[in-house]
Amino acid sequence: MAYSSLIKMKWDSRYLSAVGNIRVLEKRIMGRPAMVRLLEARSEDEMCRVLGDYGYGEFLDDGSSIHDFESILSAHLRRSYELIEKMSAGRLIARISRRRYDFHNLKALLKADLLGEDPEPSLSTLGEIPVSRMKDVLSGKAKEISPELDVVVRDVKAYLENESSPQVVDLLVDKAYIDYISKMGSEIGIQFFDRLVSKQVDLTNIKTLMRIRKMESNRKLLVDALLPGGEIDNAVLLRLYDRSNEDILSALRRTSYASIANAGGGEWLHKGDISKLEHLSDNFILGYLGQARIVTSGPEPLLSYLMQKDKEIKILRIILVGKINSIPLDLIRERLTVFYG
Amino acid sequence: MELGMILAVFGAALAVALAGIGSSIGIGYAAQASNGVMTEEPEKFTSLLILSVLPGTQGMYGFVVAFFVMLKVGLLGTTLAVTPAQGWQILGACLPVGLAGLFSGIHQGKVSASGVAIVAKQPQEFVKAVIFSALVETYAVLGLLITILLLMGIQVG
Repeated sequence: MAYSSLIKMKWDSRYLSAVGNIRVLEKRIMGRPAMVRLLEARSEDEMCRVLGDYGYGEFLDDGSSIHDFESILSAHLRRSYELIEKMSAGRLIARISRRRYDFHNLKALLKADLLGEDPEPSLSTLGEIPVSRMKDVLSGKAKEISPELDVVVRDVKAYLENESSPQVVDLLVDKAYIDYISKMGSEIGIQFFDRLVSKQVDLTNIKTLMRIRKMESNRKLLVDALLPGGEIDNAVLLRLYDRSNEDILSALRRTSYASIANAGGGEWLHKGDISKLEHLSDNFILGYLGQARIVTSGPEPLLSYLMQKDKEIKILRIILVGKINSIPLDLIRERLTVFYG
Repeated sequence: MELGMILAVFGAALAVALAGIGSSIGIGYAAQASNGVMTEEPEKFTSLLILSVLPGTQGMYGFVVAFFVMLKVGLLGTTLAVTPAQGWQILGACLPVGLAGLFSGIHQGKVSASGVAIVAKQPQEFVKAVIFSALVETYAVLGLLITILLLMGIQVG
């Protein structure tokens, strides 16, 4: 990966202390060997010991059982966000990152509403806006959540009048989130953010293209849902709409997302596996942020840390659910391949 | 005060001020990064202190030069007569330590701040971080050396 763009970056001494702090915290992120240790642990005690080594101890010490892993993991993740929020340079970055969970909650509520399901299992407690307020707005008891989320609710409701599909909710909420971070990025004036956002725009657009093709929906939805500001021109994506999977893959191979197109021979596209594409996108962004290793004074290491923590929690959830429900280790390992390739 | 003396005093002031600015910015960078590590691992204080102190030498060099100039023109004892030409020479001689100190101090601070990440992640590699930081120091030392040699070559009084 080219380092040149980062080397040219402006030295921003506001981040010096926060980055120093992050360098220590990064050592406690559970890497692959730690995950293997946890996976191969023979008893709950041993699992607790492994988790204790990586900063989960205090949430296990207060009498919580490992069976209560969901609350342990979210308490730990919440603390990671709070740690970054407490650093003066990290406040804004943590807040912007946390807003993701608000969009996620809104998406879960809207989809649950549409499908008549219980949204509770997919709700996150990490958002800034109370879920109860979102529920009140959706049920008509209250009028406003927050400016950026109100727009999404309005858009989704308008679309659902014609096309009642949960995929539309996914598309519009994802679009609104990217819109939000790109606006925040230009507001806080971190140049690095713009590059990150344009990559996220591309990855979201690729996902959108895949979703709409899967829905066999009309082209108009694609025109509406594609986000501007990516490195891949939207006209290219629109042209790919009715092309074959192979054409899409070969077009992607010519972009900086070749690693995604090549992953597993592009099997994710043939199978229409959107969650695999999401993992590949996360890994791509993490790889991009991985350049943060050479950054001494900038926001990248902070963002990278938060993303790595998110990934750690996702992996831990898979391992712990599997171990607690006595799922064979090989099956759990197979599920982990999306993260580790 | 004669013009020659004014120029000599200006040179001494520049040497100490420029090099001092470089050092204070440099130490500021390194110490901020060190503080970030210290919030989690205060036991690394000694290594972090060494890295933070390294960009401080430029300020010391500037101070030594200013002192040397003051001795040379007799500001600390009997004041000598300094011609304008000698004054300009002294001012010029003070520039290497001042300018090299200013820029090397800032850059050494950046290198030290990066070295702090090494101390945070792989404390056993601390010496390498110090070596990289010391590489920048070379040019401050060369500036000091030339300033001293030039000052020694100037005949006053």
